[in-house]
Amino acid sequence: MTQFKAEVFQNAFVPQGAGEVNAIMTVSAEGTEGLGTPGIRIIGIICDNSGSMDGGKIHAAKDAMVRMVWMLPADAWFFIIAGAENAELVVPAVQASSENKQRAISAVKRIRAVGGTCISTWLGKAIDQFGALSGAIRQGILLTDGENEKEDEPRLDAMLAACEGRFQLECRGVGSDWKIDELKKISSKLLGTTDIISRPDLIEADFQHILQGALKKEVSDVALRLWVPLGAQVKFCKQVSPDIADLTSRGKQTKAQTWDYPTGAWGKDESRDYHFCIEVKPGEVGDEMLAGRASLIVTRSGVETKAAEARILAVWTDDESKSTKIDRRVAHYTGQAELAQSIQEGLEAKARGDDEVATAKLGRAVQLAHESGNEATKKLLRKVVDVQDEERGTVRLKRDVAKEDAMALETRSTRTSRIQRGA
Amino acid sequence: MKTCPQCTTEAPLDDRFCEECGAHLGSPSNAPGDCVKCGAGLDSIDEDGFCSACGFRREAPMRDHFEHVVSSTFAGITDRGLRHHRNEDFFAIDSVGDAHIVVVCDGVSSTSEAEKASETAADTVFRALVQDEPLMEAIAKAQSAVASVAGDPATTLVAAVVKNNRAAIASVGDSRAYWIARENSQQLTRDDSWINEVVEAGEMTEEEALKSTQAHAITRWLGADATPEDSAASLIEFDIPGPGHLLLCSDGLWNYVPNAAAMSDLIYANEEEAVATVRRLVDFANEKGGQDNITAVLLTL
Repeated sequence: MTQFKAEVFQNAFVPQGAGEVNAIMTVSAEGTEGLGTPGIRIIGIICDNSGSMDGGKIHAAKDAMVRMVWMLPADAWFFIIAGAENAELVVPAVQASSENKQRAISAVKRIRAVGGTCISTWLGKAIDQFGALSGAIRQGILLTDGENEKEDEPRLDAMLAACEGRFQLECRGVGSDWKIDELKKISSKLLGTTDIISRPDLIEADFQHILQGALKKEVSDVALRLWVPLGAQVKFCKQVSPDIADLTSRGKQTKAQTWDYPTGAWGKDESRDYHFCIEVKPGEVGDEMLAGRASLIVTRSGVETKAAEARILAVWTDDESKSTKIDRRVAHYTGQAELAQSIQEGLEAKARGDDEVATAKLGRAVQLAHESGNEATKKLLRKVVDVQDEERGTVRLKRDVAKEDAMALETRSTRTSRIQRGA
Repeated sequence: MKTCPQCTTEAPLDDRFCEECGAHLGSPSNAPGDCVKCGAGLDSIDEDGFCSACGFRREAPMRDHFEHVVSSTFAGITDRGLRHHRNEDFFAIDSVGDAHIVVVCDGVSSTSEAEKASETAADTVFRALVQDEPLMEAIAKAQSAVASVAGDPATTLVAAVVKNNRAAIASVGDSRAYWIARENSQQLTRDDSWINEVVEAGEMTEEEALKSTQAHAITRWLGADATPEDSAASLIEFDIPGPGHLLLCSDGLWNYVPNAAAMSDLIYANEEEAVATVRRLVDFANEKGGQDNITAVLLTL
């Protein structure tokens, strides 16, 4: 069993009359040696083979899939789906024996790019294959290069609802003709990430990276359970590291005072941060309250195990020097959320031709990325703006920005940095 | 006024249910151990004192000093005293039908978590007695409950059930029960203490024994390290002879009162309601130095 450790960072002091309590919880999955074997895993590969993929993209994707199949450990299960307006089950769920790998590779080589894009049918096929091994660690990867067809939208929404909790999915868009919102909708519902692969020749490296991450997962179906006092309200519950994922609307009320948020599968040595904002009934000066109790719940064969627990406190004070301090981690991630929002608003403004707002927002983003030491985001911003003064956030919009660069900035805007040590 | 834990509507103190949403507002009497904020019962309070309903932590002053008034003739009080940093005494009292129930416990301060021990023991016995369980069985339950408290704490216990002019009293350790009347006041329980043992064995005179540092060491207690013999309670049946008071108290009070007659003088110094008397007893002990936690429960009969 993977062992979890949870730690809460907060300033528990709340000013008189106030009831908002903020806390960051760091959850780490620790070493698993001698703690039993992880369960079986199944990896699903879903590749777009619509007409637009024809040429370099489908070739690169096929090569990447072949390489990925080779890399699969023999005890893993896998399947491959090629998706156009209908989905074709290229390789049904099988164990990764060398014989099955050989057969799968021959089948992948026969994939041709033709037809439209109806992602709902791809997911429909995938859910059946994952269903065969419902107790396994279930992860998939979806690669596409274009937009989903309009008439498929309602079907896709219904299918996503059906897939929720059944498997996790990483989404990748190759080139710049796909829609960020569309893939993000899919990946966030299925607890994965969305990213851009700017050129076909980069697909292989990206797939390998995803597979490596997937193979590290050792425990699936982990939920974050948040207990709050009667009458309290969870204003938000967000994963804030490694990237921002708002889980608030994903919460399921399991009891009068407890909410369960899905966190998917966890790997060894993985660490994530969560930001809770809870509105409680204000206490009187001197009162102390348990404003929240967060725990990780692992469900195996229908049996729940509480893996770690941390407490969020509130202490009312009339001493402003205590209550006005913001915990540095809370401040950091509040800044990272503003960074992501500034980028999104800046790019939206740029797209509609509002250069003034775009300059202000992206300038603010540069400033925030600089302050928080988010180098990765800073680098992406520099492809979209010329930076004059990063401390003040003075920038000028670049004239010719490659569409891929703007998309990379937008898709990765939600990636956060961790707090700088000693900062 | 108090606030509904569910919809935060204000409600008069005596209301048991919220007019707005129907949620339970907790008992108006706020029995010792109940959440002082929302009235949830003691079983809703976690081991760190947080209420699992409203989240508020039991206020420290509440544990340091609290009173419980059942009626004008039945009241209890506990106080931290002046020298100790924490109040490790605890008591629980109530009248159920025609029975009056009193439990007083004194956590042994050489062990950690002593306040948890006294509270657990008092609460366990009180709950069992309210359910009409026999006194000795209630104490056996308390022994196993205290034994499972983390940190191996220990506690004394004196409990009384008064019904039909008859008092059944059980004690372990040196918390006492007295019959207090204008005449013939008497200590009803016998301390399980080192001083009693050596004096009774004729090894020392009471005067000599009192000088020893372990004079007040108890020889029986409830706790994880107590053998069945260590935790065995003594049971007394006492027929109420006429008008008077039953007093149950911890050593924080009786240390300052040489004997039952002196206790009677103190109690009869003023004609008043029970709560006023127990307050006076606490004030008296604190004026004398308040060396220990002080608990006193008075039932006027």
